[in-house]
Amino acid sequence: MGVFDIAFLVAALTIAAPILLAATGELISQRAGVMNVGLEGVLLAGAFAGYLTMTRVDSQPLGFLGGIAGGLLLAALMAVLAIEVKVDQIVAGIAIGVLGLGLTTFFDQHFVPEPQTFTPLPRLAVPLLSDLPVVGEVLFHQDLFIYATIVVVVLVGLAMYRTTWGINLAATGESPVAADAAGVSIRGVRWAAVLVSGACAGAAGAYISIGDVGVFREDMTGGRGYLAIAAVLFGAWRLRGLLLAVAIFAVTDAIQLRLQSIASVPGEVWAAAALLVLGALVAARHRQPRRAPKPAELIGAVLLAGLVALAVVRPQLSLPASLWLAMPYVLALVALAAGGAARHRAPSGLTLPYIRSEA
Amino acid sequence: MTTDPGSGSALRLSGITKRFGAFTANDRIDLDIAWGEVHALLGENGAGKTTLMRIVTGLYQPDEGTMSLDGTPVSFRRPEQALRAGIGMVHQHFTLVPTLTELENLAMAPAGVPWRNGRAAARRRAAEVEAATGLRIAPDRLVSDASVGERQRLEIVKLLCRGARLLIFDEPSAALSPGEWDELAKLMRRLAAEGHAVVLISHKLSEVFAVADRWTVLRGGAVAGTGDIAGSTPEQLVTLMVGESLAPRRERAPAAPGEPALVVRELNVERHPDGPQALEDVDLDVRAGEIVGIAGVAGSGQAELVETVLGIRPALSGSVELAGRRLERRTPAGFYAAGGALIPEDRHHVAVIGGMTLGENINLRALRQAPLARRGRIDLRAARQRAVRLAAEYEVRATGESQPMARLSGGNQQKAVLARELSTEPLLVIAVQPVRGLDVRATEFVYRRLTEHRDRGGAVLLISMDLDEVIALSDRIAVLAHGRIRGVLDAGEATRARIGALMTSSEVTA
Repeated sequence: MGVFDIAFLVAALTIAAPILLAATGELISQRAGVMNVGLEGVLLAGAFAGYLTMTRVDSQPLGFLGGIAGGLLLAALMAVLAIEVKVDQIVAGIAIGVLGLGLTTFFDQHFVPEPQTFTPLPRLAVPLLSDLPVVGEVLFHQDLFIYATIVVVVLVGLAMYRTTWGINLAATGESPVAADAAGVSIRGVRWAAVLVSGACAGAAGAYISIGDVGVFREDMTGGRGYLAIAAVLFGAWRLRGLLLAVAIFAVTDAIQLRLQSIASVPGEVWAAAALLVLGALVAARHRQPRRAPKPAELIGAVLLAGLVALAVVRPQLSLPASLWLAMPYVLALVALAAGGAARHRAPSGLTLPYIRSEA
Repeated sequence: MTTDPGSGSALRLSGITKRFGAFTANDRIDLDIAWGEVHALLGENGAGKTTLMRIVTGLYQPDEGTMSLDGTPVSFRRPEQALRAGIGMVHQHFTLVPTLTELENLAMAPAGVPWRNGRAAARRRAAEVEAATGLRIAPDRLVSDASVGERQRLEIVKLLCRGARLLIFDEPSAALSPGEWDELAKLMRRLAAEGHAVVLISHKLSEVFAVADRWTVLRGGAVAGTGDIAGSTPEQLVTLMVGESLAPRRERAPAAPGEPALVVRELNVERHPDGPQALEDVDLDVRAGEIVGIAGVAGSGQAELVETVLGIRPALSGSVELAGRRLERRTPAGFYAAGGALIPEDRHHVAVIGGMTLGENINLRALRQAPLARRGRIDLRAARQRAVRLAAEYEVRATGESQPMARLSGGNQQKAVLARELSTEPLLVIAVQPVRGLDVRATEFVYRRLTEHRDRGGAVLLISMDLDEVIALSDRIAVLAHGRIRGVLDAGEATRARIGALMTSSEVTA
């Protein structure tokens, strides 16, 4: 059995869903001009609030509602700091992140001294469609959260690109003065956007704790919040780019999970990495066909050659598990560095508080 | 478009007064604007045009007086209310979102139902406006791809889509090319013919005479005159705008100009990549022992001239010579080293460091040379003595040289700036609005010090928006308008009327 089987795809999708939901919320918030760097803390708050609700009422729907409430609470704090008090958003976000970790750890020890375990969300098979080969197993035999995430992302796509609200959202983040002059309430749009992001992150957090594994541990989100922020940047503040970024992170994470248990790296992993680098190089060329290759491209070409060689030779190579664990994050760093050119597509009003002037 | 064409009075202001503290910005202003006319509102900077238009558009509330629209009294608390009543303003700085398309900019509006899509409705309204006025937009083009003229057109369409019937244009030609201006002029006439009312704020008389039906001149916050364009001459309006000189020319020794101190040749400076230049072929001489004043309305290129000479703004071409040496690769350090000094316009942010003491502020420019610098260390005792001596010499009133600069009054801060800049015996002092916000006594002090500097053989380049100040202080006056030197007058022949005529003269080509 190779690395890339159906179980692998299912794992990748399960990893992707909470990151995708949190990143979609963060995208909305950033499009309105509020960057919540403390998304990790909001995720944790959602994870713990969902878990706490479960320990009290043992009902999954209520657990998810509890998670959403926990996310909303921290997001509301962020909104007060960023929109009302006009604190520096980066500083406020770091505070939210630290607060989320500290509070959940403390409350966990205080309210739930004995760890409890719950059954994760059941998988639901969509009739007929789930009988399709491969696709049926991967896409139509999943838990409710993953279906809900897909619905939310589609709805967000419609809201951002097909409604007046989407126009107002983009205008609020890009040029608050213009939006204000058109009568759009900057405060209203920003509050709504930050709260939506809080609800998304809260639900995603609840999935990580009670939906996926059924337990809560200290700092169990493990940097998924930061991955979501990185995905927003890498996706250049577009929903399509965001989907691509989350897909790359999730696949990498799923691979590293697999590789931790395999003695040596299988050849198809090298081949897949080579394909990824090739794709990136072609995409870069496609954008500006006629120009001298940049240093980054040369490095990419060398990397490609190395990967191809590895895929052909198939050496008995293994790396320590901790290195594999770090892979999605390393990739996120590379993505951010490579996305430097995309940074000018950030909303111009991002992280800037809006103060109405009389000029 | 459901505008009611009729020759009746559209907007009538009577007795509008607006005070800011002790300052009266608008003094019992009566203004009558009729449907179907282009009404030009003229006046120098500070004449009260902007305040008046902010009252009309709901940004300010008048202290006294009443407004009526179509004969019914109105009062606006917020800009939205004025817009709803049909009064819209095309600002100099457009309120458009560059990353959205033109259509999306029109569709941007408070959404009653979140999932409504306003694009189709906006497209329909834009088509209606096009049918009524011929104003065509490119709905699916990004605003960032549109030229300045196209953006202005979109801004006008936006107002018309919202039902504006009275349109106010604030210096609309400032960013336009001559061709774009001609088109805008035609549009204003067409809007007026449709029954809209158009208010044109401008200080270019040629534009006013090209499009307006009637004019009103504001001076010092009050109406100086109003009338029909048909029976008026540009000279008449200039006289009304600049008025009679109030300040008598001060008596003083005639200038004895010597060697050229600052020589600027064919300086071209860019303001915005696709707009008109900030400075165009500027030639300027300031000789030792004379004060040269730059007259011109704000934004004519004064700031760019100072920044370019100082070296913080790159020039497209041209040369700057200071004390006979050409300044290549200009930097502020090079400017000061060559014998330049600067009294900046922005006292709080540029001229002084509020958190440091008076003494430190006075000594800032002398710290690197002897006697204050000794083998790389600052001689603190000598620095203190120097600060105390200069503070006394320049009459800076403070509790001591260690008082924080921010605690000093504006006048004393400016005296400290003078102490710092003039004590180094510079060849050239550039003084930008040196008495802004100062009381009479401090103003007199600054004037005296600048004149003394001239009498000692120094050169002064005075930049001011206050015509009286320029006339009172300068030996020669260069008139700057739209980035070009329109003329240089000797002090003896300079009158407000002559300078005003040069300031508002529109060159044959821009």
